[in-house]
Amino acid sequence: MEDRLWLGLAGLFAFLGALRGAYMCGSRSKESGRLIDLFLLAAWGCQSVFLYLRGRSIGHCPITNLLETVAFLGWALFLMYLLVGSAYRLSVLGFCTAPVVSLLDFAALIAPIDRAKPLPKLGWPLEVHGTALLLAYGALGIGAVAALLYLFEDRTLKSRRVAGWFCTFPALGDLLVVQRRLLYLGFVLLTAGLLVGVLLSARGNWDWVKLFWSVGVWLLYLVLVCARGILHWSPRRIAQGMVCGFLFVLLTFWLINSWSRAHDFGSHLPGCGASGPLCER
Amino acid sequence: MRGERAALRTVKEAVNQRRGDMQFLVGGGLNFEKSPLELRERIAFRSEELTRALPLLRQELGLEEAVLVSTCNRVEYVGITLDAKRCRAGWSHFLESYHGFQADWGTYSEFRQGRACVEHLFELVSGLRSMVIGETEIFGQVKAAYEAAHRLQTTGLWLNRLFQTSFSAAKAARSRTFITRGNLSVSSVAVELAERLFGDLSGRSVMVLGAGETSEKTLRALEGRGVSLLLVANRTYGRACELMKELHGEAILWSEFLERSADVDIVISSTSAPHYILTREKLLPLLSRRKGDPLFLIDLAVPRDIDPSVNALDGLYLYNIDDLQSIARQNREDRTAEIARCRRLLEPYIERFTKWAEQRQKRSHGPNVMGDFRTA
Repeated sequence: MEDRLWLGLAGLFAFLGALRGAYMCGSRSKESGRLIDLFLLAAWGCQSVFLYLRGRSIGHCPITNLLETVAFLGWALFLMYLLVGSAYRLSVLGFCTAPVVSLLDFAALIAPIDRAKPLPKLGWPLEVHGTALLLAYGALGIGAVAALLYLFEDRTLKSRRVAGWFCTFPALGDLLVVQRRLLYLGFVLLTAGLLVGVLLSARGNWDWVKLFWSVGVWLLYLVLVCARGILHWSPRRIAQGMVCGFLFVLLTFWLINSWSRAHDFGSHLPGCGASGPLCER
Repeated sequence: MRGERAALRTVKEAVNQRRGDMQFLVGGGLNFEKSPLELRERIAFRSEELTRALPLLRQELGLEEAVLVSTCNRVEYVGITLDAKRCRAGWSHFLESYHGFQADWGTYSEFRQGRACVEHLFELVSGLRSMVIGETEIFGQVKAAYEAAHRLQTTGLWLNRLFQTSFSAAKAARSRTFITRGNLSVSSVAVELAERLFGDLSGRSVMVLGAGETSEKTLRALEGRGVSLLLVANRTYGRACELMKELHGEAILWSEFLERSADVDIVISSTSAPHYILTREKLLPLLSRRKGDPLFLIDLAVPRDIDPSVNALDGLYLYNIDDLQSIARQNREDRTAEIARCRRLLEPYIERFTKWAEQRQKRSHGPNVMGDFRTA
């Protein structure tokens, strides 16, 4: 079975999870979100198989082109949900994440972005760099979904329209805790990934476009991490920051990587043309 | 030999005749919809009285199997009989002979037969026939009544199956619909909102300003949910001490309440002050000390104690008595709207029991043995 089919299957399961979530909301069903979790677990399993097969065929962590990166990001989003959602019983986070991942998977399959590219000979630090950053974006992405739910629930409680299907939502306090923990986890992973990236850049030429963008993203999340204790921001403002921050990452990620020489997955790295000295294949 | 055969034939015929009689599922009694409280309270049965009441009920109504349900809102029976007319008439005799007084039982009582009886029981156990729709206490009361009857051996094949199916149906209705969701009293709505804000309330702290009746009820409800610290500030310090003796909390001086507000998660206010005692200016410095932790303000006072404009402040949620009453009203309407969904959900269970009853009669005794469960 071709590895791309596994990604298609993952997108399908994620879509089914989203459909189930929409049905539960629409029909005011009180059934638990266990079926959604099963769909998302199946989607995550298929994504894992795709990444494993792809990694084995290219002999590298599968983050060498945009399709693999998007698939890895979807995998990281589900991983974070399965870790956090099951612990806090927040299946509503799952059915908000499912359509995003389903869209990412199908868009990645349809778009002409699955092109094999020569890799720089940078070994495992490059894999650690990419993996840590994508896991960080996974945590920050789920944190942004929790923040979005927080904003919705805050607005509902403020406006006192609390009856009806709203009772199926998780408590505001639980969303706040989840959002904070994911922000801290995401920030630690982001910092670690960027530090490894800096070390890698020091071995070649500096990629200024990506560097400025990365520093900007890191500063944004640094502000959000310090917002509660030092800046005394309200939880609502922090939640707005998390949603806007992740939207910024999501919308500019592809664009910045297209402009970035080092992050065009190796083809334009110095000394890394089709037969450059740093290339592994 | 011939005599023995003849005797055996006579016995068999008698059994067949007995089996051939129509059996009816019947039910009825008094409930809050038709009978006044003054009457219901006089005919209620305590659980220890069932030992005497159930055999008498069977005798007076001619019931082969019987269960008697007695709560503050109803005294009802369910049974299997060979003679539905006798059963209907016997109910008045039973009440008169047991309680020793006469009343217009016919006016106040209801009588059901067949499928109507099944439907009524299933809806009753699910809380659809309760005064507070969706309340769950009735489930336990009916279960206790059934268990008592089972212990006294007044239940058999039909009622065992009927009641067990009704319990399964009620559990499904409760877990798959919103019939039990949403509280209907001001104090429980306040507790529900606190849980929506904080999740688990254990470890949370509450402060009450003024010791009114509703605030005391709310405080008790919150204490039941595991709130760890209870503070009461009242202009009369002695009244605060009195309340805290019962609730195991701390009474504080009125002058201290603002300072202590920064450390609590929920503030319930019900003073008789003619002006706002908590304003935007007073609360702003408190919020900055809370590092973004939400603060839930419940204003039960009329005139109001808390400036309504504070609700616009981040991390602060203010509900007054009108808001809470409006939510309770909305919850009541939501529960009423769920009745139709519940009935749809109960329908397959009712159908399953009815089919089982019909198949059972056909398999064991031929076509004319079991009474008609399908018609009322």
